[in-house]
Amino acid sequence: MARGKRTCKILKEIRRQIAEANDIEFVTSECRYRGDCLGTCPKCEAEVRYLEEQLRIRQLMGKAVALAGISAGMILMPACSGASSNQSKETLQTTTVEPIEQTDTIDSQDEGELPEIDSTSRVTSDLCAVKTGETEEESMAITIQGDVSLPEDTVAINKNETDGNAPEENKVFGMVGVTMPSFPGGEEKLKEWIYQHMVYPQKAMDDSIQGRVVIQFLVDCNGNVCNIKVARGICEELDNEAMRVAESFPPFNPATMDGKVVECWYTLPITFKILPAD
Amino acid sequence: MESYYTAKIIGIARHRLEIDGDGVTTLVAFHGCPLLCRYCLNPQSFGNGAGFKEYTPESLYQEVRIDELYFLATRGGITFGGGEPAMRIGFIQRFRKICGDEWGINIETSLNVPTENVSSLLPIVDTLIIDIKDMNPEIYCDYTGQDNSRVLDNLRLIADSGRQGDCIIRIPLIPDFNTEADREASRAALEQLGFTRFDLFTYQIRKH
Repeated sequence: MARGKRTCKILKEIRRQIAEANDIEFVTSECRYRGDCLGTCPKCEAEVRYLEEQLRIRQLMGKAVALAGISAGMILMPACSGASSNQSKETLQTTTVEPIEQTDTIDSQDEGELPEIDSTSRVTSDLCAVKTGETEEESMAITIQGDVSLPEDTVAINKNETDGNAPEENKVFGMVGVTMPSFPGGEEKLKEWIYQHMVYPQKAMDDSIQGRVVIQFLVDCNGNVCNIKVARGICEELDNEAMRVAESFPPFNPATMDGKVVECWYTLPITFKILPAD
Repeated sequence: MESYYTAKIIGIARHRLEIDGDGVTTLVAFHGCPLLCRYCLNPQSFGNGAGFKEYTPESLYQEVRIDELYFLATRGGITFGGGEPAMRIGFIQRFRKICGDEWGINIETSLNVPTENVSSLLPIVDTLIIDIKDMNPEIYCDYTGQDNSRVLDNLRLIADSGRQGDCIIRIPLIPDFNTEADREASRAALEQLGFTRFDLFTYQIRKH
């Protein structure tokens, strides 16, 4: 298979899955180019831009967008935890050596350079709180860090208004006012809520398991927190605890777009950390 | 001029699959490395050659966000390599703030950096791909020209932080420098620290 073909096929399958998950009509064709390629080309890039535009339209219509991790299982880095077979060693050897050959140096980047993406950006706000455990034998802490991610197109709208150089196709959205879902009382109250309700699972503490659980949920038009899921988990106990606290949330202030209430996805990473005993 | 928030980058490679972490990743290779490995894969990462371009975190984000859809769909993101990315903490910290938490950030590192650097990076990095060379200090020094005490300190730091599960440790068989027995010894020492994910391979010697 010519260099780049495998990458091309995988990327195309990811695009197909994104389209399918979001009920987007997606018509593609078999690539007829038989030589080596970079795994992408202007036609592939155009399909990505098309999907981005369709997702943007879905969000503006108040529809949920399914994107995070929908193709996560397709590409996993090989790493062995047991004895490697000769075959796997060969595979790993190949993948380790190839990086330098596939790395495009700055000097050669002009070749096959792709069109600029249209304006997307994001705004984040950080929360941080530490809760000390109540066990007698050792002190324990839950470090909670929250991050509210705004839909890219929403921020692009704001950015374009600021820059005054919005792409022509975005001008139609230029006057749209957007507010994101928010916890009643604001981020400080959200932090307090998590602080008060989070309990470090005993088994996870006993096993010294810590790390970051990323949960996602939909804030519907009534502000209800629903469709809670773990976007990136650590272990069953910590994942469940993060989900449990999210289930306890009171209704949020729902998102609005141009004065109209819309449903919106909300991403919240929560870091579990055990502090050493004093 | 390179500063805390700017960096010389020798290459950017898009659409990496199964090489630099889970999901679709973009490799961003920094210039500059504290080691002088005999079989370095990216020799352009050291020296004063002109094969690099200076970036700010903002300008890098502008360039790599073209693949955000793939990153989000596959839980991929950016893999910082080089060179030694753990020497570029200010740059990576700012980049994390810009790209947000939904992108994965991996680093391919030798860990031969001050422990303060690793402490700063751990909260913002999802996966550490660690090129350990060999745990034996003599072999390590022969191959890299450097002492590995900082590597060992950083491995203990990672273990104490409970982040072993986020590490993939590359243990190479290095022609003329170590043996299969040395590699097994390295692996056993790492398992003692709680590391479980290993990538065993043989360096392929190439003429640059």
